[in-house]
Amino acid sequence: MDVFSALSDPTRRELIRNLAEGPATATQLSRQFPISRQAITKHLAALDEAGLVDRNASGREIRYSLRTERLDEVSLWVAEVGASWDQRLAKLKDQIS
Amino acid sequence: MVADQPTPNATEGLHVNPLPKVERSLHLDRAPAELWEHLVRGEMASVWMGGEMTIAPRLGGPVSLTVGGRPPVFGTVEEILPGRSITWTWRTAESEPTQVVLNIEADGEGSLLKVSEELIPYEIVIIPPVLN
Repeated sequence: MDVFSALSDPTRRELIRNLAEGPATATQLSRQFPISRQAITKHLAALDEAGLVDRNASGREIRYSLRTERLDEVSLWVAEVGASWDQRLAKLKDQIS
Repeated sequence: MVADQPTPNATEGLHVNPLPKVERSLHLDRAPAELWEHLVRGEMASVWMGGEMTIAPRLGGPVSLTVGGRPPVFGTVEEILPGRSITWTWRTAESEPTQVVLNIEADGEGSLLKVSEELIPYEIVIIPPVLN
């Protein structure tokens, strides 16, 4: 799963927001969500597959932490697409004036 | 409804970030009807879009943009209010699909053009070939 597919789900985006505050286990995360721990684990697996989280053993559980460098792809997308439109709109302004 | 099943609205009430979106707006000294032509006529749009732009300004009409040396972007018109707004979705063979909305409002003697482009969720559906 690529970064954007992983981010296309609102629950996964919310999980990322939570993990941005610090590493957490699926059990800890599931307390903050109206869905089961099992469902949380599934979403975390998707985030892991997209390379958005790191997994570290913590006792019997796995502690997930955010890999912020992967999220930079999103900032990169916004910067690139924004720059394209800035350029196009500047040309449009020239074209019609 | 089964109580244990998370519904698509399970996260309702929580703050949710949308997918990345780019938005711009620009005042132009042209009446909306005139500006519209620059947006939906391929030969005019090609100038400011910076590549060869084709666009069929009707629902379901094909859209494409080829900027020299880059992979072409292909898409489809999803919504159109002639003279006011056009929405299309497009993607290259490699990239994630995005939705583009161009919207024109009268603004004094000219127009306010609002542009947005955002990533959209997608699924890959493989349709098996029909064998005769």
